[in-house]
Amino acid sequence: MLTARDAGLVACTRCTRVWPIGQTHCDRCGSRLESRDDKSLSRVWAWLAVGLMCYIPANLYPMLVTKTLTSSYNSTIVGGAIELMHGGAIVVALVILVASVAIPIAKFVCIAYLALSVRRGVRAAPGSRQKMYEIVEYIGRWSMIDVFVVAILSSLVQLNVVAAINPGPASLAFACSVIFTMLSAQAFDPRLIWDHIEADEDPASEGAAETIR
Amino acid sequence: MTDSIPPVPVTTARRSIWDRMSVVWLVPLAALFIALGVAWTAWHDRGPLIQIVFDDAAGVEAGQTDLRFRNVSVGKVEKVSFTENLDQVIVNVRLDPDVAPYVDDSSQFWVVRPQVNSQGVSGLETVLSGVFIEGTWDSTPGETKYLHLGESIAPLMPSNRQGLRIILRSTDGALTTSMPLMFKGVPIGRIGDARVSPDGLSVEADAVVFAPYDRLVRKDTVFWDASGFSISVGTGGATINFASLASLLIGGGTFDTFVSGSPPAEDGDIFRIFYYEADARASLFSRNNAATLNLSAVFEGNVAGLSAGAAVELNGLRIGEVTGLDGLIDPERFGNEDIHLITVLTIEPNRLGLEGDGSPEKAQEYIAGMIEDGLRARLATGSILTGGLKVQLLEVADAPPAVLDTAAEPYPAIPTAPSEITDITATAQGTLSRINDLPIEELLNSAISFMDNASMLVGSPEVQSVPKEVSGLIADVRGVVGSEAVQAVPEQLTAVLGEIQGTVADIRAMLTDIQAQDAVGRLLSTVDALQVAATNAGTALDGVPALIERINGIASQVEALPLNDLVTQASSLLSSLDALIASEEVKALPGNVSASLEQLRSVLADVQAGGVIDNANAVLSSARDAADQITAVAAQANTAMEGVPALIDQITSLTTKATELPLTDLLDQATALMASADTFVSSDGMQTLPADLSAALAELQGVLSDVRNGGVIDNANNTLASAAAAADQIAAAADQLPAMIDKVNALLASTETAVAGFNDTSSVVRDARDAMREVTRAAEAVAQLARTIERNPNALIFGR
Repeated sequence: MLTARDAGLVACTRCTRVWPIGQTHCDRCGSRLESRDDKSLSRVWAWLAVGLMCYIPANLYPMLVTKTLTSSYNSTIVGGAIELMHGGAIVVALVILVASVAIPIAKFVCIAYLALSVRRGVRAAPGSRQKMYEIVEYIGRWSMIDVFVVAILSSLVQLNVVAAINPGPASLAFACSVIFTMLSAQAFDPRLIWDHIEADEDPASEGAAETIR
Repeated sequence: MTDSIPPVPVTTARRSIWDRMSVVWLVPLAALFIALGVAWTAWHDRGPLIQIVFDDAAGVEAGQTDLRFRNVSVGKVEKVSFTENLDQVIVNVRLDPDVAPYVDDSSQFWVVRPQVNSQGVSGLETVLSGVFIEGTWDSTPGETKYLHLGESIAPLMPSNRQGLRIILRSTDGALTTSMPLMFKGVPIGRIGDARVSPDGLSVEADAVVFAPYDRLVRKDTVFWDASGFSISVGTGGATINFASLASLLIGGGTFDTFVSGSPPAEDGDIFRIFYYEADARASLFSRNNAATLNLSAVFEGNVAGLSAGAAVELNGLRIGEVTGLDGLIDPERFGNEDIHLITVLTIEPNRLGLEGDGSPEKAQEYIAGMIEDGLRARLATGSILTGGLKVQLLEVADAPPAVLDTAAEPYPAIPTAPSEITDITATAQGTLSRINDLPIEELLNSAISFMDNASMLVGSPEVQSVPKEVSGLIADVRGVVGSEAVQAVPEQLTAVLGEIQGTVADIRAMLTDIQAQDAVGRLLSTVDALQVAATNAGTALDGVPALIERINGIASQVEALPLNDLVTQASSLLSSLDALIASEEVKALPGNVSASLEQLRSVLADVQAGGVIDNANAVLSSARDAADQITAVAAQANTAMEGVPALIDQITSLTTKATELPLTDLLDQATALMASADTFVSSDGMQTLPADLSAALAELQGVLSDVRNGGVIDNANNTLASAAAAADQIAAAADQLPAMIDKVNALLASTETAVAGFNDTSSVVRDARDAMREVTRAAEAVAQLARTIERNPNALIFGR
């Protein structure tokens, strides 16, 4: 199979014009041309690290600070979900758990897997990995739903002394975590997924692949 | 791989780590630094964790409850756990590092909870914020202590205040709960909650007097309870005393020093607090705070009336008082299972007047010696009025030997002698037991059930609504009373009463008149007589046809007579008759009758004009009867009149026969007679008679209708008067009758004279005589009628 790189061509990612591989900038749209983003994985890992760091306080600190006349109550993400479950709202608790715990963690895992799989050969078919990447990138924005809920609640329930809901420090951390995770996913160059196929199909070119690393 | 594609120039990847690393890595590095910085700061700024042990940590929550100092949060509870044996609660508090050095041995901690008691509301802020732990410590930093014992209540004296700490002791209930300690009404300290002293005989409480007032408390200061009020009634009148309204409500102790030159009190000094100021003042002289000797005495039998505070007298001298009274069952000691009463006698040794310092030990020795000499304790009546008892220590001459039992619990026991209680106590007890036997509980139960019923009744909606209904009713009544119609009632009533008064007066006058004139009796008798008269008239008239028959018979007999002479006689008779008829009297007869009728009519008119009597319905019906009678009389008169044509026929036939006789004179005479008769009959009076009669009847009818239509009683008198007048008129009219009868008599006499010409003995004459007698009798009957009418004019009206 002949790839563009093998053919000595490089495609502009913005306007899809194909240029010879030596071209550095697209003459049509002026964007930079790169056959492979060689710093992609580095960026991926960096953003992923920040995202993970933000995710830890997002789960430790309270997400919501509920102040009533007599008391102030802090609830973390998981604590709030468990409380909801005790309160009988199992469906809502599941939604929160899925949106705020399962999906972010799954994103971390997926990105890390993708980044790793580019460097090491894995059994999974490149097609399914490409699909996984698309899903991660698509679903990333929906992780903000938790932050939106907190924002809406905070603006709705502001009865001064009687009752007030304020966003806790975890909401900011969670928002940062989501943002960084999305950046991490965007930093990934999906073309890297396919490079190994060539290496697998053509063991002779393995050396070349090694040099790219 | 085709050759057309140029080989890709692959550069060797020999780049430095900086080329391979993205700048993006700066972001996680920065985040890492920030996180580490935050964590280090948090750890570094964290204060020490101290543990406070509480008996009860109600409301304390980990992560929520604050530790406060002067109401500023200086720490937070991190954990609440138990001690090893779960006896107490350990509260772990993370202190602020700033205050940590101050939390040393001087620290006190207690849980502030909302409290509402007699001294006000405290800790109200904790209702909303939840409880918090209040800490207090002095202002000198020291070594931080990590384990503290928490107080159950707020300490009397916070660590940051100076003052005097003393202990107050009471035997009479002056101490109860914590209350302020006041000096001349100003709170300058506090008395804490009371506790029972270890020996169980008194009550103690810690008290503090805050600086700078602590110097007011001296060794000889006396304390008393300023709460409540006292009423004293004496020769100086009644007085009521209380310290202040606040102390009256919430209580409070107060103190004063009546002795000067006393050294200041020290921490831990024990003072006695009295219930009354007077007791406190009196205690000054007994130096109550000196050591006392406690003895016990076991009395048998009833000790009712003995109470704490009762005097203990030694040969009449008060040396102490009873401070305790307890029941005791101790078979080993007393040999039976009866309950015995242990009395604790607190003796003040300095009252005994012993030499030296008067310590309790010396006093006990002295008393022990006296007991060996026969000193015994016994109960005696202290007050006859109240039945209170006192304990007397006195020497009993023949007492069995005994010693002071120093081993007895709780205090050395002094032997006792039988009590000498005045009978009045028994009597009083009897009275009291009778009072006791009264069925007060049943009474109270009944009263309670009654109250319940009453409250149920009162609380029932019907009764509840009664006042409203009553008020509504009153409002209605007020509206009715206030209406103009009702307002006008009194006036109308007055007018009606006036009218009634006038009416009664009228009735009275009328009745007086009726009584005076005996109107009713007269009326009744008049009516009776009138009826009799009418009856008689009817009877009399009944005889008229027979009379006419007889006259007919006479005429026929006359006819049958040899008429020559007769005709002559008849002729003379006729001429006499003619003369008679032609005479002025006969001619005047109709006029008289007419006048009489006119009089009657006027009488009736008077009767009508006089009005009618409403209440005389029976009278009216009788009058109607009378009218009927009169009608019958008139009918009979008509019948009688019907006989007149027959008579005239007879006379005519007689005349005809006479005419047939060759008696021209007679004929002429008869003709003249006829003419005279004609003249008589056609005279105005005779013709107007029926009209007058009908007019009279019409009048009567009008009168009757008027009477039927009702009238006024007032006029009954007038009516009677009119009736009397009518009777007078009738009498006057009847007066005319004798004259007429005289005329008839004269006529008959003439006739008799004429007939006398006939054969006296003949039957004709006899018959004529009989006829004449009949006529005479009829005339007499008419006369009798006239008299009757004269006597009872009202009989004409009433038909009797």
